[in-house]
Amino acid sequence: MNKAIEIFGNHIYRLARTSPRKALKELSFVYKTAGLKCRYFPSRSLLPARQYMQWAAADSAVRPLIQPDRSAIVSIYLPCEVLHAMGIYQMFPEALACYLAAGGSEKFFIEKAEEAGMPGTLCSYHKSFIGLAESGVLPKPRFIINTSLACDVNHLSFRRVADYYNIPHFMIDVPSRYSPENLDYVKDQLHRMVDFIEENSDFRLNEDKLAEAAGRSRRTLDNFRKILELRKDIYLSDEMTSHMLSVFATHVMLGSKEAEKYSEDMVQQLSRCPRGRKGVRLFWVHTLPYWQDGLRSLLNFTDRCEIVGCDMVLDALDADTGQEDPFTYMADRLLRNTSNGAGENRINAVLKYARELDADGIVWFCHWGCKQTAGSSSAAKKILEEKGFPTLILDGDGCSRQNANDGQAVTRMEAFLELLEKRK
Amino acid sequence: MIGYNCKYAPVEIMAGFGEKYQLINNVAENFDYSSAILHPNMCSHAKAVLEDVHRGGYRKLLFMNCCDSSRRVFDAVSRDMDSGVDFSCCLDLPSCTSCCAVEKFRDDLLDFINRYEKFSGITFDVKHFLSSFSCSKKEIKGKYVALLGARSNKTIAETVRKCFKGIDVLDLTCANNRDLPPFEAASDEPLDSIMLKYSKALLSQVPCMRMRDIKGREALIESKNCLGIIYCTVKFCDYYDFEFSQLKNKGIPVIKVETDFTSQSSGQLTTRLEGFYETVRQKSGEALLKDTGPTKGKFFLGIDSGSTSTELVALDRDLNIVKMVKVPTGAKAAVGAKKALEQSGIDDGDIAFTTATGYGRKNIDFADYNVTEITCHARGAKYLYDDVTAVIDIGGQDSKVISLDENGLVSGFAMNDKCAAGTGRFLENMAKILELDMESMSEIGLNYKKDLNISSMCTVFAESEVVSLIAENNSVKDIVHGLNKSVALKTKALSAGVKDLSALMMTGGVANNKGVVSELEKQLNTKIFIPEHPEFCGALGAALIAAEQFNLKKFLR
Ligand code: SF4
Ligand code: SF4
Ligand code: SF4
Repeated sequence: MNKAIEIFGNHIYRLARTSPRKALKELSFVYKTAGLKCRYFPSRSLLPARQYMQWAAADSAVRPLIQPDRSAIVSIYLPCEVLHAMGIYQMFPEALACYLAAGGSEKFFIEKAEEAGMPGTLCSYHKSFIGLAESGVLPKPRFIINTSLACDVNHLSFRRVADYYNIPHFMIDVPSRYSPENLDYVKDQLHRMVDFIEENSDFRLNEDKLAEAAGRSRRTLDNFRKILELRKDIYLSDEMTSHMLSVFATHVMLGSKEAEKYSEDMVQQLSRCPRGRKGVRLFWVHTLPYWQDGLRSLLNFTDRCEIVGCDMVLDALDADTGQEDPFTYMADRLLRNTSNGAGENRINAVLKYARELDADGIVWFCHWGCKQTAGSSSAAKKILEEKGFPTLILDGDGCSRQNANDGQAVTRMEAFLELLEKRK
Repeated sequence: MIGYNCKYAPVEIMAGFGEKYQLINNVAENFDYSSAILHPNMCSHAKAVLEDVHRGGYRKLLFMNCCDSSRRVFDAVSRDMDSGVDFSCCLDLPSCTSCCAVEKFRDDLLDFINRYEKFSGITFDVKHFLSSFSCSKKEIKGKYVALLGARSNKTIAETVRKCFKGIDVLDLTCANNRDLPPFEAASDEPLDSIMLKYSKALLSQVPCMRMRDIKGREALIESKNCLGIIYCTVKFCDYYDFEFSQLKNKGIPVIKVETDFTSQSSGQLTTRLEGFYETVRQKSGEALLKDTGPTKGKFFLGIDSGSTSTELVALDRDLNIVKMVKVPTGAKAAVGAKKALEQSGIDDGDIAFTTATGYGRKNIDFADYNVTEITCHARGAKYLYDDVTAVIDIGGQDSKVISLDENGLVSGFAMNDKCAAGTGRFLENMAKILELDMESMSEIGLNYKKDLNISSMCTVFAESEVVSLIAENNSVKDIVHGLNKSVALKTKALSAGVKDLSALMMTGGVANNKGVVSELEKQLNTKIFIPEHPEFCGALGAALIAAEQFNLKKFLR
């Protein structure tokens, strides 16, 4: 760990225990400055669009911390067009935990959650989230809305935190298959979500604004389709963080102006990049441990290899069936998400995108506690390798240093790179 | 046979097809098949289901899409060509009982009937369906203990029944707590409307932790007749720890039992459950009396038969310690105990009463009585340190944290799971790798320079981590410090449920390890009282209980 991060992490560890409010202030300040630095003093090694997105993501993470009474806690898969249209800011576990990990400050919060009896085997994003709330650092938002999509934790941590804050909680149940009936079922719940917000706050939905937000979502995802097309034969010097940022852009931030601008800029800037490839092309599955030193030095800004895509960014790319009504569009996206339902859905999507991106190999990242991803890993390896894509199952943690064995991860990753290099 | 996995599964529909059904809940002999198919970090129950199905016990499967692990197991059984399963279906379980959820579930039920009719060629018989509802709920009148939480299994249920002889045991764990009220519908009612009622009835059962609104669960433990709760969790299941973490503050005795769904050795389980039994009984004002006939003699003996060593403490009639003996246990508990008695030089005729405790407590034939080490450590600790509020005991095999109430009675305890991390054995193994004796192991970590972390929770992984730390040229001091810290952290996690750590005492062999003690003090942010001979605390407690039993008996006579 970089010395400055280590010192900051230790500082937050002490501060959070004694003065949670102060810890919040300092965390927000640091995220904000880090974001501003990307905007106004960009580094040379990254595409400007990526740096813009770093600022935008930091900004959207800090806003709800400063104005919690305009904010909601949401789950990463919640279609947030309604919230964007109403001007409600969002906090969500993955972003909160990612920023903590970036500042080396996750430890206190994870310990806090475990001390409160949370299982050690729980997803660390959610452990950080529960710890943040119950330590008094995360300010109390207006309400909590989440979907049941993708994993179990949805049934657990949001309810617990809503009880803790004593704030209203709404959950959208997403069936595991697409069917016209299920579409109506989800759509109906999305409408009720709007009623829920209006009953519990002064925010009112303006249909025009919602249509605009949905339009932005469409255009953003269209741009990501173009990015996919362009990326096929372009080498890009990049870092793991970029993919995490894209995950935010195609999920909670989808429908915002910032996400659209990011995707537009990416398309433009990529079109100007020279064609050609360097090194090994990896396709990544699930979240990325972008803070982990050993992996960073192996994967970031190197000619040896590049991560050409991440399946989470693309999980709703093919969900648009041209539905005009924003609610149908959002419901569609939930039901057709590649993480929904049987593991095969996701494996097939990974296969499709790995092909489209002309990847050499696939890294299936089993984030600690993520049973839906880990549960498919062996089947995925078998199927993907049969189709000609060597696959590495990499165990680790997207946000907690406690569960990551850097040395072991580097050895495995390096061996995998060597294997792919030999094949070429 | 149709196997199902959840209490929400519409098994009565299967009865409507004349089929037999069974809950899949067997423990696994091993995980040979599943370990090749599933990632190791999947819920053990789900892995056991996979083993069971693969072995070919079920022709048809009816699953509810309960959790990630069960969903992935369903994926895996669908791919398994050798299991002999020719029909499988996984239904979506809505997470609430709102009208749209009930209607949606009704549609899925109708769809399921349709599919099964097509598959089997059998027509759904409403009469059979309706007559299959049986009110299976057992009425319990007297006091009972409840099994709550995720899955229990045969080993657990049997061990509980054995330890709680004479008390009813009510199994309220997730899938065993199926409770449909008698169902009323006319057989000529349209299927639509019958299924709507059925859908509602299924979803309105006492909610499990997967449901959105879980207030209804409070009814499970409301009764005054509930003496205590044995809370079952499964390794890598997340749902139920959320409830357990809140149960601890409800004032009712509760103990957590984690299973990995193998036919695990019931030795440790028995100790814990008996300890719990003693707690429950003392809490309801019972004494631990057992009549053993007339005795004379002037000494009260306590014998703690542990896995590596056996300790003996003798008290005189004024409760002064007159003898302390420690011998290696050897292969047989009884032999070790006998040896300890011989070394003490006490004559058989001079013994008034003997209480045995520790792993071998039941195998010591000359003892009059046996009590678990949990109760004994608490009793011994109270004698040595009157203000004591909590005891940490780390021995060779296991570690426990015991909280005491103002009267020195056990008010709760936690024990490590099967794994050895955080115990004396763990430190001994590591000492071997580092080529240290236990004495230097105790001191050397105190003067560390670099604050190393050993992050692996498992002994085996920790070993390889230590080996690579050595390879990276870290100093032995720093590594030992890292190990001490990892033991301290593990213990800290165990003590999470303890309310009052203000007067904390440590017993057991590891209490002699200065490095661990100092790390623990740091982690728990409190001073720890270490008695002069921490390893004798259990035997001392046993001797005190012997004296108490003896006096009680005299008093009664
Ligand atoms: S990482 Fe996995 S377990 Fe954690 S929130 Fe995401 S999908 Fe759920
Ligand atoms: S936790 Fe609930 S949904 Fe899951 S198997 Fe148990 S009863 Fe069924
Ligand atoms: S024990 Fe928990 S994780 Fe395992 S199958 Fe049941 S609900 Fe799922």
